Amino acid sequence: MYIDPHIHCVSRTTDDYINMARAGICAVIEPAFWLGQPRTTSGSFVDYFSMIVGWERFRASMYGISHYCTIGLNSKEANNEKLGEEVMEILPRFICKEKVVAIGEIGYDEQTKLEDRFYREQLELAKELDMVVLVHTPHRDKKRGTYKSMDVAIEHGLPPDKVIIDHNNEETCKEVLDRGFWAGFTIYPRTKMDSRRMVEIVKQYGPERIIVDSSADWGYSDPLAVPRTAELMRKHGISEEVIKMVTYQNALDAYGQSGQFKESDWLNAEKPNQKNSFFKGNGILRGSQLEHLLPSAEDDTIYH
Amino acid sequence: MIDKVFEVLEKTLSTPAKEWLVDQTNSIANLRGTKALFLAFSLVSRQPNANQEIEFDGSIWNQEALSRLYILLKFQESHLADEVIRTISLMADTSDINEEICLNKSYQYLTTPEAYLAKVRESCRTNVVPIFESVAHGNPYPVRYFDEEGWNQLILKALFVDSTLRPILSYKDRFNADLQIMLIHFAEERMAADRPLPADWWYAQVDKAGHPDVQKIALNIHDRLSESEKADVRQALLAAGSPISEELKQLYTV
Ligand SMILES: [Zn+2]
Repeated sequence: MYIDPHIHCVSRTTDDYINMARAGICAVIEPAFWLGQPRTTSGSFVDYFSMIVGWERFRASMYGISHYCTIGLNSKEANNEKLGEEVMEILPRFICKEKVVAIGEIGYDEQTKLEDRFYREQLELAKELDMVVLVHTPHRDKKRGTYKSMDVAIEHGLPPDKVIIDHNNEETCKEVLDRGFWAGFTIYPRTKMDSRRMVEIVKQYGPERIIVDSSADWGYSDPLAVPRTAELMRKHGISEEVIKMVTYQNALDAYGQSGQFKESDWLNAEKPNQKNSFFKGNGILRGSQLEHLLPSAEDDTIYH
Repeated sequence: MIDKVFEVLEKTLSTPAKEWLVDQTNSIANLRGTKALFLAFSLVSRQPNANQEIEFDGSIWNQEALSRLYILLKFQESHLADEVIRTISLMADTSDINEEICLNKSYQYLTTPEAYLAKVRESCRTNVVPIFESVAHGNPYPVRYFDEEGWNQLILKALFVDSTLRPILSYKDRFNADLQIMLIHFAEERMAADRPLPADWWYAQVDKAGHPDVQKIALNIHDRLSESEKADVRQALLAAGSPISEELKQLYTV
């Protein structure tokens, strides 16, 4: 069983969902982010947030995957001041809905003044509502951006154990862990962090508060990054206990603090089928039987 | 209505849950803006025993949904009519699944139910069956506010998503010639694709199974039917208010 605590499902295909289910992913968290190009009206945010709290959750359920999300104004689009202000007005309509596990992903992209302003405003909102926060750290000027993200979170009184700092690498993770934050690692197929380097990090720092995710989206990325990394860890002799912590348990513990992310959701979930599924008839299955889409014993070998 | 809702809630809510609800509704009534309303409406799902079932006005609700109805009624009580319509429509636009279900069941208790007609029609286009059924089943909204076009689409959609027609209030009263044509075309399409008819297709004919095209369908489909399906056809033919052919009578032992 795996959790992928950072994946942008709206950009993924039904084949991806099938492969994820077969590979043992039982729950996913979809952080609100940008869509690869900037939105021009706040209405686009409304529809996007609605989609990830509603339709996408049920699309995932068709494949036996429990879907959760985080809601927030991302750092890139925070640079449009008028839009940012409008989105801040919209957030209360979404952040306390069922299965919203955090405010996120928020933080810095270019570390501009506007990014800083909306990051802080959202941290305040998280504090007011006692929510978990998912922080996206910048890809450029990463080290300083990551440190600044933590400084500002502390400044606003967020306890480090309610904040997940994501997209870490070898340069940032020690500081993040030392300060008591959760450290997310996004496994990218080619650049940035890959599975091989992830194995080394787990060997060096141990499994505590380390969370592996795919951040798979509309770009070249791998929705199976979590199970693939687990498999590589196995090959390198890392214990099952450690693998479970970084690919399942830590994510559950971190986001479980929201009260909205419960193991029982997927352990007790019935297998999706035409009878209990929410999408019958003319739904996304279009009359096909789900049975053959679901993980079976023979599929266990696809990673070997 | 608002007192009736609170009376029922009072019996099931724990004291802290009751205090929470009263607190929230006081903020909603007294604060400017809609933030308190939106937050409270969502946060209800995070209260303990949110899924606890409650009977209210002859149908099954749960603690969460009934608390939400109470919040809506309190909001309505303290705000101007057009603001209520605008705000609740906004909530419907961004509701999650359980919120949408609750709204669909709640409109009938608001002062201007017809103001939400477009929202309810929208819920009837969804493939999320629990949302669809929150309108279709046991809800007087469609029979009161849907025109014939909306009504007929509701019935067709129910068959499409394999839902049952039986809990649709006043189904028989609103049967109409246009609906029957749609039902017949639907059946012909299904048969051409070699797919079975929905379970309630024969029930859907009410007492109009004597229609020549319906008789034709009964004749053509006979070989493919299970015994229980044949019983459904037989039932429909027995109820027919116009004559049916001898051949059919023999085939289905009417
Ligand atoms: Zn992301």
